[in-house]
Amino acid sequence: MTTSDFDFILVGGGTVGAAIGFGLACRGRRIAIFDGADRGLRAARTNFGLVWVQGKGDGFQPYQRVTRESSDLWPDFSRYLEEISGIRIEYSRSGGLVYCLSSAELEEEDALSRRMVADDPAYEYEILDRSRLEALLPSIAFGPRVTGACYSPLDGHVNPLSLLSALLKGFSRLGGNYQDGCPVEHVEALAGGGFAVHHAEGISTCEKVVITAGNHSPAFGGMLDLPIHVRPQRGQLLITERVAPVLPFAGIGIRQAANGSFQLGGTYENVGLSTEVSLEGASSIAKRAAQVMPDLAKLLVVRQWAGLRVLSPDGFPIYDHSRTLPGAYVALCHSGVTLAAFHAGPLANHLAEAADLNPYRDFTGRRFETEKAT
Amino acid sequence: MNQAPPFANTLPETTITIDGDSIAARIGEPLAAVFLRQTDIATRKSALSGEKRAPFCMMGVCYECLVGIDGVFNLRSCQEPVRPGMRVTRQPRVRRLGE
Repeated sequence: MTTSDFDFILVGGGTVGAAIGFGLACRGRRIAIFDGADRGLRAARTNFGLVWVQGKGDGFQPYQRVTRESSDLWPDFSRYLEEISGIRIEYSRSGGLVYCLSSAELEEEDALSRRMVADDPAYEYEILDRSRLEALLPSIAFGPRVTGACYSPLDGHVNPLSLLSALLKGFSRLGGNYQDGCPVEHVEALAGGGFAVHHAEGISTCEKVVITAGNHSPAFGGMLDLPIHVRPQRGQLLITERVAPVLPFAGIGIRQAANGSFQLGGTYENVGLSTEVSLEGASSIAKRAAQVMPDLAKLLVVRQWAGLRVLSPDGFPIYDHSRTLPGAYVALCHSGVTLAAFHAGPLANHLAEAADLNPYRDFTGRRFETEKAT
Repeated sequence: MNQAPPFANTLPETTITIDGDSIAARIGEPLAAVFLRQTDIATRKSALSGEKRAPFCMMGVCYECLVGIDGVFNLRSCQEPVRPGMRVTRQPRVRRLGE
């Protein structure tokens, strides 16, 4: 029996694939990542950059747990990643704000936060009325409709493009084999165990294969007796000209990047696989942002882009394995930035050591299937 | 023959001010081109290092040529055609939110 080319092959090198690959490479495994080409869906390049805990996993405690775990690991993860890659990723556990434009919105945030505390007493949040929000950010003028915000010290943000770059650079420096512009066409199970991955440059073999291909994943799942339920949802972003730093906090819909640009979002559109931007999208984003901070309306918008969120039916991650083929896995989510520390750490550690996904069995795709036999 | 073709130098002459100084320019030429004719071609200072910056790409993508025009800052001078009486200011610092 010949030895496989690699211990693991990852199909897809976005934020999820790169983080798991980085973690497996840290563990000394022989890893290859095969990534698609420029015409691929590329969600990793369109992210807002939040490392976010507030409100996540309402009604689904496993997701609350991995989110909190990842968020708590992020500071050490960031330092280590910067050291290995040599790339600065501009991470800050700054605290995060959910801005509210009515009493109803503020009450909704309060009710949501209370549910989160009921599920996890270690959850931290604070409802800020308008005067406390103004005291927190004295150099920002808030619009007349702002009633306050929900704040959590657990939230943070990062440069999502630098993060991806650092993960892939770090992966390579640790001995990982990253092939860009090399889309995978087919994955087949081999008779004696292991897999052959057919890609643009030929065929590579591995003991284990992990599908980390975002919205491209279902096709590969179909080759591996691994049902994957995921659908795309479009989000648009606006980027403004650079101004002096004035907003250190992460936030929903508004954050200021390290270089001074404001990043404004977002939309939630079901438009299939379209990554086109629209005037309506720009307009709705700008309108809300200007209602929160009217001075944003004076800034020039220099860029607009759109990406497709990778959404499971309930919006929570999928970590699953083939129904019949040992060693075939899938990992996907729409929160790849927040979960990067978890993916590079605990999840990669588990994949390196064990054949099962037992600690994460709540995240399999079986939760979407009906109780009737299929 | 040796004469300038009839279509050369037909943009009308005008005067603008840069930091209060009267400067000759032609209506419709890119403002960045006016800077590049001056002894001091700088449009601004870098927010990080304080060093002088000047027009570079001349096509609107590098954001080095930022100036203030008639009180509005962070404008790319390579994308601004000269108008008579334009009041131009080199950027002393990064624009602030609310200005």
